[in-house]
Amino acid sequence: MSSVTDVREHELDLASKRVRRERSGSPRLSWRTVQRLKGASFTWPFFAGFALFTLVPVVMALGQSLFTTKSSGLGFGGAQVTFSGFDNFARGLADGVFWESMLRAGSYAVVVVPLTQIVSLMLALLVDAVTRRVAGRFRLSLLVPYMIPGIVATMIWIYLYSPTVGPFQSLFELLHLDINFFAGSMIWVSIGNLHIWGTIGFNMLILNGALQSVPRELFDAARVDGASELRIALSIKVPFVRTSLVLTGLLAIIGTLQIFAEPVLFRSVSPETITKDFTPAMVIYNQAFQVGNLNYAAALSIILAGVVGIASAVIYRFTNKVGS
Amino acid sequence: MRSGNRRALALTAGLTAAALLSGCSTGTATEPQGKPGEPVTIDVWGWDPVQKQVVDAFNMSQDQVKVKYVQQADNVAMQTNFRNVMESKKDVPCLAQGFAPLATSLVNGWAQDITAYVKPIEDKFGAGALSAAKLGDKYYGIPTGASAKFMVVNSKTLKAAGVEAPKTWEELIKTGKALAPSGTKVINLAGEDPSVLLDLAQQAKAEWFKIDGDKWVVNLHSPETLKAADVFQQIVDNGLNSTQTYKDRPALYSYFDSGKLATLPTQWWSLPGLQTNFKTSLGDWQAVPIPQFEGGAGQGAPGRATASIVPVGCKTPDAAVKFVTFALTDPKGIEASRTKDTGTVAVPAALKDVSQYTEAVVPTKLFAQSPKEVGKVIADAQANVIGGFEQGPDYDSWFPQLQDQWGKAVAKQITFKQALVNVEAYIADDLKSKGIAYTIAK
Amino acid sequence: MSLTRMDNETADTTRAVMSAERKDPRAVRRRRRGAAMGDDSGGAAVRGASKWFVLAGLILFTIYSVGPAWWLIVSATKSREQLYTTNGLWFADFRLIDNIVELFKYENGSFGLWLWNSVLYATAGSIGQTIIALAAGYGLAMYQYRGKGTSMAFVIGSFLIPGALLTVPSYLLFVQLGLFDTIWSMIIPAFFGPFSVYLAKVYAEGAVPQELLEAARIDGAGEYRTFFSIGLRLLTTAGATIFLLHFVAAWNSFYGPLIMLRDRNLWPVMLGLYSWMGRGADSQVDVTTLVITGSLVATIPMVLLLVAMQRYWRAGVTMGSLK
Repeated sequence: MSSVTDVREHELDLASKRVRRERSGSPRLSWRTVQRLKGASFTWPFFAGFALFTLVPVVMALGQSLFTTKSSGLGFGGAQVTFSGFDNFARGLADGVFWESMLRAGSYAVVVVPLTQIVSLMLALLVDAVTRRVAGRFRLSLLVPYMIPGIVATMIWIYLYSPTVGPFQSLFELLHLDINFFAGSMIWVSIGNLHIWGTIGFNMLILNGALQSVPRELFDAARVDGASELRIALSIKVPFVRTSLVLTGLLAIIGTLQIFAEPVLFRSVSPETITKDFTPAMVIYNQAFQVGNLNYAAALSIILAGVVGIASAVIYRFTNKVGS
Repeated sequence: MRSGNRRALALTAGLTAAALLSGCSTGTATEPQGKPGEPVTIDVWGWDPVQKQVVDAFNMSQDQVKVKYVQQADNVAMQTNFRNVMESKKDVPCLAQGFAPLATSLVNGWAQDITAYVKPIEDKFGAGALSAAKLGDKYYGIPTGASAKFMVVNSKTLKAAGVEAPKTWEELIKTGKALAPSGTKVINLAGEDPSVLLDLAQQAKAEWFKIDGDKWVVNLHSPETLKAADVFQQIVDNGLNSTQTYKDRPALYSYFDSGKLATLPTQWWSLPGLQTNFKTSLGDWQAVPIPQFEGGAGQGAPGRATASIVPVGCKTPDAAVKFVTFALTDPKGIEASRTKDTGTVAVPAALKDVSQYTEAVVPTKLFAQSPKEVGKVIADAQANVIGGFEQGPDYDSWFPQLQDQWGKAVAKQITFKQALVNVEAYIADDLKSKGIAYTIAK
Repeated sequence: MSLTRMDNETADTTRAVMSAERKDPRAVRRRRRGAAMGDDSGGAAVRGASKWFVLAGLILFTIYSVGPAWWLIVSATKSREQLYTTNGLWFADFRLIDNIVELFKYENGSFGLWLWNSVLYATAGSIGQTIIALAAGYGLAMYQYRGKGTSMAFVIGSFLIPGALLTVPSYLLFVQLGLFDTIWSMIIPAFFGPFSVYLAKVYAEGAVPQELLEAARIDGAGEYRTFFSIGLRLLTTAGATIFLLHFVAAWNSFYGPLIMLRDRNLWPVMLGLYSWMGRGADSQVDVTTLVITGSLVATIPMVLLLVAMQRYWRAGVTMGSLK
């Protein structure tokens, strides 16, 4: 540990010497410094706004999580806000209901995230495999779910899933299948499908964009060598979009662990399965806006962010190892 | 300390307001604008679009109070934004359409004591409306009134089975058993909506929350509550109910329309929706009073008002009360709420007698009866509305838990009694964590 | 049909040209010039039997994606009475025009106003976000400087923040800043999108060669001038993607506006529709028909935008192949 820091310090030392040399030394090196500064200045407008509109609220929320609000008597006297340190975090870490919901969302993510990734990648490869004119048309169609507002998507799928009026029901009857999308046992499938339907278009767009930077000449070379299209896709295109694949994968993990809208929707149709504490985001929402404990909700949000961060880091490592 | 100051402030404000009110009632029309003091401007928050028309009419009718209506996107938006504005304490409205039970508003530090303003005008309101605006003997809410429940029954379906519309809950179960062989259900119990349980508990005169000195007495296991739970237990155990969700509207309406459902407890404002979305059963329906419990006389019609409140931080409660009196009880204010879409006036639930308003809201094709007869059923229900049902200091917290437990009970995973036990335990935990004093009744 | 055959033929010619390219570098340039003009056929396009397999796959996925939207289209043509009482996947009395007229007339024409607000917020926000994100991404990708790693960590870390965490603090902050209940609350914060910055950085790493910058420097161009004259041009695809993604997100969002905008006249279209939808539950008039028609109408600007964007993607592709 200490040796690592030593090395770091040594490097830093060298770096500062270099800077000093640049400042006092030849004009060419100091021009490099100005160039670096100018380079950094490209990011300043963004980070100024980012600090104001993201970091400041995060810090405010962090502050919130360190306090506790308590009433007394009948509760009418107004509540007392007291500093309570990490009490809210301790309570969150020991909150069985919260971790149960985390486990639920986690197991869901384990199934749905890879599935979404595979389907999205397949789509991106398919779109990449046709001529550009055709691709344009399909890309547009595949983005339709992405463009349909969430509140309307909800209406659409409730109709399609409906065991009474849904169009699949007669098909199921014909095949003598007893499938009810609203039943407790099917709820994950229904939610998963809704989720995948809504997200593959976006993922496809990102992956497809990445695919287009693959040098086209590689394909020709491969074709000349007699490689099949499938082979080309798997061994040339896929490795090329690995970064984007990791990116969309991480986004998918973040999205699924924070899943909220879909289960809330299905809470109405299957309340005995989807309780108010079904997913971590639902626990947080319930604490903040129903129970009215903003302090605890803030602490839970931070724990959730931590778990999502760790999960993302682990997956990132893992995919990197597999890739190399 | 702080609340003491606030009360003193409210008192002084009350005195001046009383003077102002009496002053205006004598000479509003003739008084010129040059009175000392500009008109008071207040913000009123709500999510009902019709309210805007009432506000305009009010602003036209007098020049002492000017109301600005802030329309929220919906009930949920109202809750979120109201919580936020009370947090920032900037531009707090003087009147907020009710979205939470009174005790909850009070615990959150939202509602002002407006007894001094409501007391003088008590006689304008119905008993149900008044009881829902009070906590103990103080008014913390505007007597907004609640839409009373009555029932519509499919007379064709009942006739086919040779039964009458049930008058009691016990009869309803019998009716259900008589209908069962033909696959017809007597009532729909949506898994996400436990409000029917509250209805019956209210009718049975259960008291889930009661103030005893300086603590709350919580009781979800009284004989009254269990009587209500037992009705549902029998219905579910015998498979007499359907479980259509309100989310799947096409399915819901087509089921109601199919003749396979015999009764539907409802409120007046649901009727146009039923007519719009029914096809085959139009003209088959009949409005009847909501069933009562056997043996208990004068139980009344269920209906729980969420009273509008005058938020803490509003400096001119008198102006708010003045507006609300106009909106809820003045014939001109009520007339101003006529909607363009239907051409009808909303039933003014705050009034003692609404019989002159009910006939007009009855859709013409739905019923086997004349609109007049249906109107009478609605007006009678409204006259008997119970209004009050104390839901305690943490309703927002326990209601989702009740939903969960109710959903499980309807799905036959647990009994209704067990569901109530679980909710009671949850309430105890929640009050404890909030530092609110309580005891569970013996 | 004939179109696909034509594509096949072009693919064949391209293949012929390409095998020639190996020997003649000038042909490569010629082909690229052709591609830049637009009469291209993807070098990636597959042929023969796999092509039909690919097409079949695409068609299946298209049905999956677009199929559910069919309900929206059909329902928008129905009257209130027939919305729930007729087959959801087929037309009843065709009332689309009446619905659209009612939509724009309802509540003194609120819908038109909301639509305009949405166009304003989404366009202004997206332009700002695209420029700021491209600059930031370019800076992060092309330069080495101290603190870069940390700032990048902040950007990625911000993806992890659950939305629920920030609603209340953001509201309080916006009130403090005086942005609350103004159009600026929809536009200015939209300028700063961490995800867009990340995208811009990844794209810039791939699309802008360091050598090009060195060359520009040798020619005496300053860093800023290089960015505007070369960087931005090479980042067109990234810009188009960022613009589109943010535009769609801004267009569909209603929770942020719900908290930040009190004045109904400032609402964007999705918040307006959401509010109409919420009305179904506790009022006499069910305006679901208007919500559905409104959603369909509100999707049109996005489809138009996407069609317009196709051009940039095509252009972007050729840019990418330059390196």
